[in-house]
Amino acid sequence: MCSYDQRGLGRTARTLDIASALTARFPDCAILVLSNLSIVGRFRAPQGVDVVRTPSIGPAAGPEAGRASIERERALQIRRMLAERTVETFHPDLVVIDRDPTHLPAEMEAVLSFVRGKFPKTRVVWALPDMVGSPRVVGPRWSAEGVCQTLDRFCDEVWVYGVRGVFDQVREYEFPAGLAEKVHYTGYLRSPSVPPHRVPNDLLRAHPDRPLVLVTAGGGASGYPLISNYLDFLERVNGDATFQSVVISGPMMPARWNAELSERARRLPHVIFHRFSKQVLQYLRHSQLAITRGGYNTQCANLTYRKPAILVPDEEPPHEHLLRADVFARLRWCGLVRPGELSPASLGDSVMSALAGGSDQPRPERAERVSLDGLEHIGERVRSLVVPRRVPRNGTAHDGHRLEGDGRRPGL
Amino acid sequence: MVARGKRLLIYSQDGFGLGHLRRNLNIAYRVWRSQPDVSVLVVADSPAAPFFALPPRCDFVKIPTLVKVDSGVWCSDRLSLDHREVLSIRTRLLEGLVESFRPDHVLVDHMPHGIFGELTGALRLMRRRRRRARIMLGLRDILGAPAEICRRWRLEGAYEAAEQYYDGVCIYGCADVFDLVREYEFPASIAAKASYCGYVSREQAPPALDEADLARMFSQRHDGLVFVTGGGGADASFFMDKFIDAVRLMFPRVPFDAVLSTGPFMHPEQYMLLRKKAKGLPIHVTRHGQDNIRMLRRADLIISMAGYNTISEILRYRKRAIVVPRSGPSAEQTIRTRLMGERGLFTVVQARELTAEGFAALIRRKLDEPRPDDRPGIPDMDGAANAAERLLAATG
Repeated sequence: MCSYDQRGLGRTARTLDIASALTARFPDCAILVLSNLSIVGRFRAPQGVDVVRTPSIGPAAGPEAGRASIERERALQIRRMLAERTVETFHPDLVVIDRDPTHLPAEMEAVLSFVRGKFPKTRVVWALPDMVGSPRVVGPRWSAEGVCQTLDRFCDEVWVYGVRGVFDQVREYEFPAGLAEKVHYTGYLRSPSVPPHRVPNDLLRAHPDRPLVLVTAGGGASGYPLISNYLDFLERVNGDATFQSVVISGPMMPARWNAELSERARRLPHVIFHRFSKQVLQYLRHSQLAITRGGYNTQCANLTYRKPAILVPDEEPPHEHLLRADVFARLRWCGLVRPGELSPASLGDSVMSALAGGSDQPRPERAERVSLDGLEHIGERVRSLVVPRRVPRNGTAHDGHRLEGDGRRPGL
Repeated sequence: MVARGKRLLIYSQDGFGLGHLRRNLNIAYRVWRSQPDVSVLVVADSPAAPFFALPPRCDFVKIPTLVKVDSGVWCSDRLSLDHREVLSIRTRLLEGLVESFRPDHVLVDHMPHGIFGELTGALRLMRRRRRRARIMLGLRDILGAPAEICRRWRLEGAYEAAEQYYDGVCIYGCADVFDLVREYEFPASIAAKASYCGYVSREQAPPALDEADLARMFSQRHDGLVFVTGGGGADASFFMDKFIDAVRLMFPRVPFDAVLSTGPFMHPEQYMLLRKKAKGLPIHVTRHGQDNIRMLRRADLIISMAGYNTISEILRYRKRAIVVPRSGPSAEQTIRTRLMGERGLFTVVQARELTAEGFAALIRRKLDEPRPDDRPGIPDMDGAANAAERLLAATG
């Protein structure tokens, strides 16, 4: 499985979750995850899964370009080599790619044509989140890069980790008919369940009768405005807030910003601040309200735990977060503070009225019927892609053990 | 002479631990300080890599993990693959890395041709290149019992590899503590290119914990601070358990607060047990090792195992310490503590001799000792600087 993140950590995080579900279902399969995430070591790979980490690619131009650890061309060469040789020696039955198809398209095309040329039996899947971004931006970008042609040419299937009824990628992004046939909507990815007695220690020491607001910024690379505005709001309330907060800034937030926010949080009563926590879901479970950006994984967690949420998306093109927040807000799964409207006052108003529980408030239980069975469907897809087709339908082909007996590897 | 714009490749083979990686990043940091234009690529195999902050101009590649289960016996960490299959992936990736990164300088830590000779192909490729890379072997002060190391090196052809492929050998220790060249019977050809660099310790360390940090860990502060660490933590629970017994014995008249850092690799169940056991005592139990150096700098007494980096940091910051060496499978820690204990650099206790009473008495006594300021027995601690200089020396 290939997961390349750009600013965040979402693709690698969900790829590891999916890998974990796959090895649980097919205990003998081996999965290698190829990731560029610098903090990939913070995630413990599940049993049956190991990680190959590739170097980062610095920006092509601009003041930062000269500060890259390894010069860009060489880093690209190393990445390509790592991908090709991993495929060559690991010889996977299935390759699943989760990355922005417009990011370094030449790199991916080279690797895909290598896989196709050398290992015609290896199945190739491209994975996309429920929505990629505003059709007005994605459409032109994808046609400029020839994304649909590339996907159609190299991939056996395209998995959309979402639900057609929520967002119809095939229609919105105008997939040509050939590609449209390869698309499978898997449903959203249910977050792991957290046993109720697992309460984070600092929460045990906190006030049990105060409602809990959880504020997270995902990876944190661009989470400063959200958290700064939230702390600003608390500073203005000046200790009179009737709730308590857990604020998680994110491991990719630049150290300087993180230090400032952490110091501000420290001076406030009833605020627990972390840069990184493996217990985000525990906090979420015990919270009454979640304030998040619009990242895919975070929304899966909010849906899984049916938490009222206020989404504070950014405006970064192709507006993936904004679109998701818009769509979810329209379905009344969550509240929304638009990028231009983010201020301590607007955020504070949303928090106070969400906690007061007015009739216009987010009703996450309305999302009850949306599928969160993504992991199960992915398992099904893997089984049908990897099991040899010559086995008769009524034979052992539909028995998961068949896969193990073959020593096949739904992976790279 | 200068190595501007050059590339350094570091092979850091840790398996499950982080010790080699820590030391290599200390050296990489020093490389950046003296030659900010050098770009460094670390090839790591620890599942937790990079774990520590990377120095500027340094990036890393992680290859699939192989874990040492016994002397000379390896298996894959999580993959349900035979170790030979993992090995063939690693071998190919390592060869590819020397071809695509084209390093000018190479540091191999610490097996001359890697696990099962996985580096041989890469080393050959580099030797065949027209512009030859300068290839250095890095060895920590003590690898293990001399008889065992000599046997393994002979068996695996490590002497030949060291002779054939390397321009030099950096020993991160001192001959007057442990004369590695003699103890491991290096032939004259290797001895001639080996040099002792001194101990490598943290080049750039974050500041010691301050009172505000401590106030967040302890509701009520005592005067002293004891820091208990077992490095990665895989086998540290035994002496930590005994430590909690000792504190329980002193309770309620405990003259210190203690931070017990289990390390990221301690089994979660053991970690939970320690946590439970420490309830009600002035002991803060934590998992993450990232802040260890800050706690160590602040502490009045360190209680630790005898891993290379912890010992270096104890020496560098002139800390009082009680050291409980790991007894096996390798004799590395036993030898290190014996030699340094004889110099009076810290107090050594064997795990099997630990009793709660004895431990408690020892802790009280150590806390009353004067700080080991610049006593004469402290070995050369400039290892990172010396190693960086040797690494970057002119190529060819």
